[in-house]
Amino acid sequence: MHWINWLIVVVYVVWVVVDGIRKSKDTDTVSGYFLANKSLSWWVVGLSVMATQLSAVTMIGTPGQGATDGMRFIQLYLGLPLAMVILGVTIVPLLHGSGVYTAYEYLERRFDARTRALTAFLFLISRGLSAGVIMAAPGVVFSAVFGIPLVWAVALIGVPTVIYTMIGGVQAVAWADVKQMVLIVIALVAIMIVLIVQMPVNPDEALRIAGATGRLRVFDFSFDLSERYTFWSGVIGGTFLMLSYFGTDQSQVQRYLAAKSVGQARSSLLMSAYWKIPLQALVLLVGVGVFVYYQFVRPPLLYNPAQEAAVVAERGAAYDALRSDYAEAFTLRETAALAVADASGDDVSAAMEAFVAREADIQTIRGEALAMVEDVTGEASVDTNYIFPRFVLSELPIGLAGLFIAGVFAAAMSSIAAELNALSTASVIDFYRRWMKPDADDAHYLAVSKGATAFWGLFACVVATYAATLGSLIEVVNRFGSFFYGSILGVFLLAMVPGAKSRGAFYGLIIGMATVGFVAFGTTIEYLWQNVIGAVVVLLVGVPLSRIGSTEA
Amino acid sequence: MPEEIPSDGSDRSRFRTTLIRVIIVQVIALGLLLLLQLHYQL
Repeated sequence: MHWINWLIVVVYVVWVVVDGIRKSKDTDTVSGYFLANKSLSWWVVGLSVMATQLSAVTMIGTPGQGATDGMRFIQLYLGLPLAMVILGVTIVPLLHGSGVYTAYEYLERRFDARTRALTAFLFLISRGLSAGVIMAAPGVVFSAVFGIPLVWAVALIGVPTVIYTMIGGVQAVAWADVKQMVLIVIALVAIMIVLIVQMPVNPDEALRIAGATGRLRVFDFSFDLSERYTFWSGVIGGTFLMLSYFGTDQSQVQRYLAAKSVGQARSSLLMSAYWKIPLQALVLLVGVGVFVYYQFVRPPLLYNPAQEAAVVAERGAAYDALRSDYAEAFTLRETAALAVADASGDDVSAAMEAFVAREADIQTIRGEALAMVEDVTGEASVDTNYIFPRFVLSELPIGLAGLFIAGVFAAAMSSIAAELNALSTASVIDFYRRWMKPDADDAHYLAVSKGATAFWGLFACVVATYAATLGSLIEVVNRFGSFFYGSILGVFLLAMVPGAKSRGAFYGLIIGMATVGFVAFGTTIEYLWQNVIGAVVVLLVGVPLSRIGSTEA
Repeated sequence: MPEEIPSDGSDRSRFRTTLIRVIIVQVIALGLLLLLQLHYQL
């Protein structure tokens, strides 16, 4: 990478860290450290909530998904706006007004200590692992693209993040998120403009080419439980996922607990309700744009340079032959793509069909190359997460590439920082202060909180070095959560049922998770539906159990 | 004592207003995406 790009990355990362710490005030108390003394404005919290969700996984993986699979991934977010509105009038006033530090603390007040401990424990396990996965995404890609060991790539992201999270607490996290969102939107819009300018076809023709291969197919209205992204899984399963994520996951709850008032907390969530789908559409459209761009500029046969080097070293002759076939197929596809762009009237369908056939040829050759990778390296033959970084580094002008890489760094850092901050809060408030040392002073809890942040940072770094081969990273992150999210949401829903008791909540949660485990391993039902199943089972089990001859609160 | 969810009239009214606004914005956004799909799909 050009030194100017590196300079942009270094300046940006240093600015984020230093400014984040500078803006942090009153972090010498537990309330200031974890909740910013409830002083943050709605737009800071709102951007922070959006930034936490828009991690490096999104920056790297989602445009790659747009390039290979098109726009249909957006269906995952169809339930988000409704979920935000529901949360705004239910859980937000409940948690913000009750003066808790964590969502799980509320469950002890409503049910009992064991329900709180179990939900907090599940959060620590699932989020501790997902912090590692979030760190692994850019770590793996940077390692391959820049040719540095994975451990170094992980350390480059992890060490500064742990430092500013430890020092600045939730305020440093929130202000870093604000910068991240601004930078990401600028970078994405700039990349979109560059794509449009550099393509030899106009936007209408580019969309026609993308549409021919199904990449503009946003909605799938089939009701198939084994299909990952459909309109219905997005609306129903997505609503439950978002309710769980934003309503019960401490990494999100902690953001709006830091808002000045219930109204400001509610407004911060509505920012996501309005903007998440348009923003996600932009990210995916950039990916679709990259796909069209690569119709006219030959992309590498393999996007992961490390895998390509391994294949060249082991199977040089066979790979060269494949590359030669690829070059020939690319020329034919380019001609077919231009024919689609130039076609009019009745010729359009025929031109599109010819183009689709040429695209299939390319995919066949790519499939052979990826199979070769699997044979040689033993690694999963998926290189979706490398498409966009390779495009950025080889095709974008100097400066813009640096801006993007800085954005990925910042995205990784702010998402991980939010997780570390929340993990530290739950560890200290739900376990250390609750069970081990309930009467210590603020200074003691603060020191333990910083130690907990460092511990979880180290844990995430270790997980990151092992999470590298788990397949499409963005889905891995979502799947980690789905195992518990639905059932934990079920407990919060049960809390709103008059007469629900702790026994129903505790055993309902366990049976809910067991059911999700059975569904995940024993059926082909996709993960978005598992959130619905988990929540519904907790209610179905929890309500009757609460009513069976018990007097406990 | 378990805490109850606030459910007064102003919350219900706020919910309804916000829901309508969010639905309008999303219908426009998703409508545009659907148009994109219908217009350019093979």
